[in-house]
Amino acid sequence: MLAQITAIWQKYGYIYMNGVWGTLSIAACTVVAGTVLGTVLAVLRLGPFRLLQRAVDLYVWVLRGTPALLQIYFFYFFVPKALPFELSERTCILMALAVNAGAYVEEVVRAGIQAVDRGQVEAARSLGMSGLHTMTKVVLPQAVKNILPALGNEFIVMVKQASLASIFFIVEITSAFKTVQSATFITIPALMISGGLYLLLTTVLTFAVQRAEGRLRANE
Amino acid sequence: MKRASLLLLILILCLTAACGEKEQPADRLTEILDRGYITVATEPYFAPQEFIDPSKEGDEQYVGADIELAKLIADKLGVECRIVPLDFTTVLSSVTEGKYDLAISALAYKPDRAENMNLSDPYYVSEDEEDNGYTFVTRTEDADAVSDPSDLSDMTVVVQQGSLQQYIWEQSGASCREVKYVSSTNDAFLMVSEGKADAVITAVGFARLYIEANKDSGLTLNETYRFEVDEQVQGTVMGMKKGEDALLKRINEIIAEVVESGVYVEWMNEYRAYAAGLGLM
Repeated sequence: MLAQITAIWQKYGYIYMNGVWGTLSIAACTVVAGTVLGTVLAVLRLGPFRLLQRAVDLYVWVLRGTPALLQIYFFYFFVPKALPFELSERTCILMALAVNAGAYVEEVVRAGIQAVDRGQVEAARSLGMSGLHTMTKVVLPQAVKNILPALGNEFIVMVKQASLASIFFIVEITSAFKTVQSATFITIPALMISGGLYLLLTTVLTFAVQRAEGRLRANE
Repeated sequence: MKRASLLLLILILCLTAACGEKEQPADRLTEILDRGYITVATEPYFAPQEFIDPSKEGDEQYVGADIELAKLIADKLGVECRIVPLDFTTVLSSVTEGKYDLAISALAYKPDRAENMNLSDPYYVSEDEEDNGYTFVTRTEDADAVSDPSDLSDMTVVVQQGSLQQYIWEQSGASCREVKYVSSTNDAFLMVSEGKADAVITAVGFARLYIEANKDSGLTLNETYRFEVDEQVQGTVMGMKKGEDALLKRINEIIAEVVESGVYVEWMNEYRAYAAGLGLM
């Protein structure tokens, strides 16, 4: 087994490395887009407009209630037809992953915002800060500290979720595994390598989130 | 919740309306010629018809007899050939959906496929006795006890979902304890190696390549039994969106030339050697 793993790595290691970069770029896009989207949605959900609140509820209901794989198919096949301009396959899949991530992040951020004591908002408002100002300067910074562990969790899910892109042959670690497996017909060792790479990525990510947590805590 | 469902309904209506507006103009063949390229969907995990040469980049990495055929078709139409690699089930759905023009992926004729897409005339019917047809693969220790499908009655059979092998197995009338489905025949071999199932229904040539590459897989190909295959399903065909008859007609003309020239068989031999050279040994 070990001999096979080394042999595969020596011959096809570069495919896995391309896959690692692919997964990193997909994950980076979904983490950034998903977090921004989720935060905006959470703020809207807790905002004063009833229609927007219900719209966010609907969004979370649909996207959390259906599998990510199904959503990717939907974005891949139907969304490009409904839009007047051309979308690359990669963009469709990134959109699906980000939109999916947004639903989960929304719930995490909402919980974080609601956990901030109401007195904080009242104090800020009575000092004459605007609603938006209160949210961005007072509430969100405190919320972020509380939700960082849960967000880290979501980030890890996003890294692994990128593997769903492999059914459409977007370059990432799982596609790399399939490529190597189909060239060599050797499955388990090829799978072990991709497992190791995922572990490496998520370990680095976990470590980064822990560092960020530590630094925020140091400000307490 | 009532308002939520109303919103959802509106959303769906908007999307379907938007889909409807962008109907494709004229027929597919004209469209392909106008836009100057043809999109060919394939699942590149099936040597020697279509597979990946990992040492190459971009479209170059997709090689195999079917890929040569795709390029030839594009040449004859005077357009560029764009290969779209996809999972097998997605290959089929993307073509029936009309997202891509042509499916060339060692497709076999199956009645349910013919219902959902335009299928071309067969471009390849294997004549090579050695690698021809469909059989089953078992673990080596079971090989002596299982000589034909009637011996599989208390075993677990595994087969690629939606494939011709599945159809052949169902048509064979043989019974087994349980049928398991996988998305790739590669996974099926692994399941038998690891004892998760007992026999794979597979194309002979493909199984031979797998077993040669995995000397310690403990698998043995049944060398004597071959499933009976109706004449109708014997050939390899291409798939197109249902109703694209002009495209079908043009493709069939090209296929007639290919079959006549015998070039496809040469490609098969060439790429069989190519595929065997990619492994680690």
